[in-house]
Amino acid sequence: MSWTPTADTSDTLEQRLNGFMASVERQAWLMARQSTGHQDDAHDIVQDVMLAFVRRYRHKPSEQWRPLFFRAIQNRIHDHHRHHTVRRRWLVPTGRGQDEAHSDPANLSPDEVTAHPARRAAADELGRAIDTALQQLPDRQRQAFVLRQLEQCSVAETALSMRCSEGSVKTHLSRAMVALRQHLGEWTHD
Amino acid sequence: MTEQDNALIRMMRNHWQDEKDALSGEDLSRLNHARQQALATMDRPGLIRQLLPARLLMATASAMLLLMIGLHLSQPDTPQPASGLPQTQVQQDDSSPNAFDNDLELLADIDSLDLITELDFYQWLELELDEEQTL
Repeated sequence: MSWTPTADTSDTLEQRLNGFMASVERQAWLMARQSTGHQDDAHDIVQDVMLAFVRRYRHKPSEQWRPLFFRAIQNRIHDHHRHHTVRRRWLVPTGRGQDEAHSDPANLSPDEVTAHPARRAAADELGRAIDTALQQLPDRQRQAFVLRQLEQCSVAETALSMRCSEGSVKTHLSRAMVALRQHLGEWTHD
Repeated sequence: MTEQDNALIRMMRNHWQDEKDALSGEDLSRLNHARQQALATMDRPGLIRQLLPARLLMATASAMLLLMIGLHLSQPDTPQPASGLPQTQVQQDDSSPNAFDNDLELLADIDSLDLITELDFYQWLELELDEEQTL
């Protein structure tokens, strides 16, 4: 869904927020799933961010909504990892074994793969290779790559989302490209 | 950036787009639900503001509890009742350890907090009645 900050100004704030969040929710969920490896965690993260966004940022100029939303997603993902690390340190079972097995396309039965388009796509070999390559990137490099190259945010927007300088964004991007070339280079020769 | 890099980015962009398009109905429904829930909070006061009266109440109750514990600990041991004193009189004595325990139980009892939060309702009712009388 495409959304522009200069959308119909006769819309109410609620309608504009609805349109905006509908335009970014899929990529936000994919980012969260990519980073956490869990679908339910990704849903929790997106839900928390939407609530926080509506409360805290709805009166900000709409030009800033996209970078602010992505920044909130990155912060919440970071928070999730922090809590997860603490839980793991204290050896509290999270009951995730089943979730992990279910979310890995390699573990799905053929029926499940056929039944769910998302899983069918993820089960594709190239898709798996791309997912793995992205997951293996350090967080900051992955954020920079996803925002700048996949979501096609400007360098300034990416820097604002990541709370860093434009120079840092370029450094993260350059390093991400080196790693991705190593992991996926063979696919571009075909 | 080399042609190979551009090809790599194009390939990954296509995959990213496919992933977005291929989200299951269940996932889309959950996202939509989350969005509507978030939008529904627009007209509500902030959570902190909503919880402020309850937080004030809890803080006051905690302060009272601490004060009572402090007073209790600073008091000398309560003398034992004389053997000739009737048992009922001992139980009614407010300064006895039993009375203190009862007070603690009452303070800790969640029902008493519910009663206090209902005061909001009675205050509102009082205002409504006042308005009716002035009409």
